[in-house]
Amino acid sequence: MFALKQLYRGSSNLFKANKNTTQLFSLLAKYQQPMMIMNQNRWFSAFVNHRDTEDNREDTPFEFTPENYEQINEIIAKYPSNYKHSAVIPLLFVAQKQNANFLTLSAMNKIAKILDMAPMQVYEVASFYTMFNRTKVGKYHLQVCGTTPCMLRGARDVMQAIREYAHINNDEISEDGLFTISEVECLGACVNAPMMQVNNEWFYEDLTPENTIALLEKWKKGEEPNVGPQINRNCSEGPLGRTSLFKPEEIEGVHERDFVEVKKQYDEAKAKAAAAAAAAKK
Amino acid sequence: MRSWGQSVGLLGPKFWAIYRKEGFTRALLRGKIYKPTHEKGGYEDELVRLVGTDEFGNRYYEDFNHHNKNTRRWIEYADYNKWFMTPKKIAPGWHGWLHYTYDDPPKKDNFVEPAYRPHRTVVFKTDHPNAYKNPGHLLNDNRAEYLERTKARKYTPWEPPTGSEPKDGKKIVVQKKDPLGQVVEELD
Amino acid sequence: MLKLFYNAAKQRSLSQATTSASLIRNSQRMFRSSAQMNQQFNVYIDGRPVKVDASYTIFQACQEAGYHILSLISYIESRFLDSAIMKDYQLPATAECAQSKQKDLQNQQITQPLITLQLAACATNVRPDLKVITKSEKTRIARGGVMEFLLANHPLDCPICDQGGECDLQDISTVYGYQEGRFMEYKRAVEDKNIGPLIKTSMTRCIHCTRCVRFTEQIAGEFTLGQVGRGKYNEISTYIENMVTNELSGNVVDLCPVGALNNLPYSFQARPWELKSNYTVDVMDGLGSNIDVHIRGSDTLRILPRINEEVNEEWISDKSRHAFDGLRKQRLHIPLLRKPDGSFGELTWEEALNKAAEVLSSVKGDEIHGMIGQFNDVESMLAFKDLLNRLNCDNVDVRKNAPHFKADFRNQYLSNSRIIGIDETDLLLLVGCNPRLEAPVLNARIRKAVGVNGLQVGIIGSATNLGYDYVHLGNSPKTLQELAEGKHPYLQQRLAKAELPMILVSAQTLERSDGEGIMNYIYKLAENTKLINKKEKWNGINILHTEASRVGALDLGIVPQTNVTKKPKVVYILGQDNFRHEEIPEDAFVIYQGHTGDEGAYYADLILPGASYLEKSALFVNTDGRPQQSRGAQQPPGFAREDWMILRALSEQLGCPLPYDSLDEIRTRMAELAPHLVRFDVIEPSGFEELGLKAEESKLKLNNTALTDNIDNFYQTDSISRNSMIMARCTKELNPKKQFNFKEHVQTWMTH
Repeated sequence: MFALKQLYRGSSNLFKANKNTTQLFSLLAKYQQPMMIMNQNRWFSAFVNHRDTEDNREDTPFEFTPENYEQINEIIAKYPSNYKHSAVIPLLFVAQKQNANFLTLSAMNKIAKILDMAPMQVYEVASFYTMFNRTKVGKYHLQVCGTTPCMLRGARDVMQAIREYAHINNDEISEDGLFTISEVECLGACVNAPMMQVNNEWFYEDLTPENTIALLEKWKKGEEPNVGPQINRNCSEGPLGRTSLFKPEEIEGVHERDFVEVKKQYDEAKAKAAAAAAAAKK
Repeated sequence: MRSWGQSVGLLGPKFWAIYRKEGFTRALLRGKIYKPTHEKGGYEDELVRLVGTDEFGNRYYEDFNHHNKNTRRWIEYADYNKWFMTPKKIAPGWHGWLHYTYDDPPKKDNFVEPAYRPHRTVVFKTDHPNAYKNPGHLLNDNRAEYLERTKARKYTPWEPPTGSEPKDGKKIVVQKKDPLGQVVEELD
Repeated sequence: MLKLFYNAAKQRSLSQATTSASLIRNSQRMFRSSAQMNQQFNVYIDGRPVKVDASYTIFQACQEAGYHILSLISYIESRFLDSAIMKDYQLPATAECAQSKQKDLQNQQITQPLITLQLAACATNVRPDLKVITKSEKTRIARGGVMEFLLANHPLDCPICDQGGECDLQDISTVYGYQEGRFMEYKRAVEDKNIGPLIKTSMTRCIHCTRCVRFTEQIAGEFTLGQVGRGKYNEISTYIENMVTNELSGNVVDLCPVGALNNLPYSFQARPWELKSNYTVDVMDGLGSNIDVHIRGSDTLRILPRINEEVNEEWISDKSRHAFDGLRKQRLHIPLLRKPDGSFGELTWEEALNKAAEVLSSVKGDEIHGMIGQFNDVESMLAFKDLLNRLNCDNVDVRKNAPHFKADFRNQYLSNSRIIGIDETDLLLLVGCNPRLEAPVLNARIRKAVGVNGLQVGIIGSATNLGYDYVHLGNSPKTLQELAEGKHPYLQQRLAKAELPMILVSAQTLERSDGEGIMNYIYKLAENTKLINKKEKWNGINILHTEASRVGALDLGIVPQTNVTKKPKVVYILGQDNFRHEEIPEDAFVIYQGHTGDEGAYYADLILPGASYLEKSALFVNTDGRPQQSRGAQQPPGFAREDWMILRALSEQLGCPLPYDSLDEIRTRMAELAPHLVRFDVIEPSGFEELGLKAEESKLKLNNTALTDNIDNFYQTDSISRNSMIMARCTKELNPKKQFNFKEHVQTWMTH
């Protein structure tokens, strides 16, 4: 893949070097531009299909841990027994999380066996979603949001800073095996833009090139930086601070409803109404 | 490109058309005698401009008649003659001019050599004795072999035993091969 | 289409005054087994009212109205994608409608404002009083737009593409497309896949209609192809390196609307307009699939299926499709005579016939033995029988290795519930039968019934991957005995409860030494179950023949005389290659009449070259007793002649000329023996449900050996396919993969 990129980069230099291009050639160069953006994407045609590598082939051993088997049983129990294969996406996530964010072929085969599906059907699902990494990623998979709000607030600078710091391009692993950067679509934290998600789990918000590099350095040292906004801000409060919901009890009261109790009350009321109706009929 | 010399055959319909208009001598001259196209290509036989020549010696002409809003461009190949009718090559810049891609003929100040590799000057072997001839071509040396192959494509007869094979009861035992040439084991 | 077909079948059977009530009943049951009928209402196609079911799409309603659209119609179920067709239609807008009603109550007028929408006809259901406009300027533009999108990434390969001339996309773009495209950008490229020796892929041409994926999944029952990736990077692929190994894989070539999947052996051979088509019948299995043989000059270039819903639907197996190139190898094209030193010398026909006549007349009638092979037509077998009978010989046999079933009545050797019986049966028991290898098209039908009708399948025999779930009862014939004697729990729980059960026994299984016992135990099983259901006029006892000639021969009554003990001095082999070594004595004179120098030719003293199934116009009777006419596509090679003509000429030399000189005359003779054989494409009901289907106590004997697969290599079973280059390649590449067992997916019936 890298060699291919070099090739395209080389061809673009060739166009830039010619200053005397006529109108025709400048037109061609204009059309060349979207091609180059496309090739920064990992998902181009040759890489949709599986290629055997040392760490990813059919006989690579894969087995779920006992804890994950419990989790899998819980997930499968949510679906009717004849629609077991509905559980394929959660299971793929479990497998990916267990295997350092890397979904191997053997893991997909294992899931096919568990869910009584044909392996091909699992491959189809896994290759459809970009969240499943079918090639190896670094220990920290930095998914930087590139959608409009984040982009306007400087996501491109953040990305460029990461690239320069780790000496990688998009979707490549750094030499120390720690970082992979990829651009993703909106992750729903636009109030604190720009932001990035790490390993499908942790949000780091309010990024600037400086504090992003500080984060990377911490990871490099083996520390765990704080999740959330990286500037002096609590959650997503505005510049005036908190303006409503001052008492924490009020919030807790809303969230800690006892649904079992509510259900019981509802059933009782229903039974009462039914009894009343029966009495009225008589 | 108008090529009078070709189309006006002696005593053909075109010949008689010109004969009626311009007389016998003129028609004969038009038909037979070589004339560069700039002399006879223009509107009502006025001279047209020779725009330029390329490195292969091809001559390029343009007839710009602004009354008719009509621009005609054509080429006279250097290697075209009665015996060799498949002209070989044309310069890329001139090709663009000839096909109305560029308005001006290519010159050093308005045409830049393309960034890609220039055209190879391929020598076409069409009329050469060593030119490619398809397998069924009458002049192909291996025609006989080809005909045999086509026969085999229809069917190949059974190769009967020669008499030297051993016998198992009534059967003649022959080492059998499948169509891919692999030896197959006996049936049963 | 289906409806028309059945109406025609009804009329035909009624007009011939044969009481085929069961045929009509069958057709009714077919319709009942389709999707549940919903309410019906009118829609208006270009102003014409059509009454349709609520489950219909607009596309189907248009077809009902007779407005046919060139399109990517799906062959399979209703889940399909057809983005090429857009419709312009009007429907009342509910909210506005209510308001206008209120207003107009005072004026005593009700007007409904209409809104116009453009929708994909194939993906939108009909609704009451829908008004569809099929031809409008807006629709034309919309269709052109969709066409433009389809062509955006489709390469301009037409001049070098094998699909050129028979391409759906070409047709659609000719009718609906714009003259010019506006697409300036680069087209994408997709790498080609290796999915086997029969299918050539050029995946850049793919437009992702997913017909191939749905065919392999839903009909062939194999999950190897899939749609991988998304958006621009969407591909039809196997993801890992894998091959399409099922026996129906050739059909995806016919399904593909563009040139993405092509016939590999046929690639770059011809253009469709150079070909001449010949409608004929296949002989590679007992099913008698209807085929279309395409020839150019004297070359057969490819074979395609023809639609016959009662036989092969629209599929044929890979062997039927590709084995014909075996007819180009090892052909017998001139009469040959074995010399004393073992070599062969060429003869003229006159010499050869004189020699044969000399040999045949020098022995007594009962010293001649006639053997008939699997590719023979009814005419040649009739002539063969007549000729040998005139020589006082009755020892003629079509049943190789003497399979043990009786042939006194027609229902003793036919598939009595017919091939379409699979669509109505509710329980199918396979005894020593692997339909996937013996008749792949039949297996697809069984799979369809399992999916659509919920057919239960039980197997006594080897448990292999058939593409659907079944209950494995056991390997040995003893399981059948337990069933028949009522000891097996499967009988009470499933088989006895079934209304129209069906048993399918392979004819090759009956060649075992205990074949007679197996057949009699099946008769005994019929006493306890509704296998013979008189009320429904149902006979569920079926024998699946794998040889095309067999049913025709049994219809003619070609059965050996009982107790033939005399050693034959002359053996006349009519195209038989799968016999046992012991059947031919060492000192006998062997005459071999056939088309390919395979096994039989090495026994022969005299070889008479005959014609193959593509080279003669003749009759073949399939496993459910349907006589079908084949038409010769090409000439026999060299000096070879049609078989019945050779026999007719030989009878002249013998001094006992047969009384027919033309095809019509021999068919008249055929009608004397078996009148139903000349009613083409009509199955004659045998009429006697129970006659001859009674178990005899003395013959209830079984061996202990397991029932195994009768065919271990599907691709090479007979003289034609053994000589086929393509079939040899298939064996090399695909057969090792076929060995794996799918026992994990099979429920095993706990018996003891």
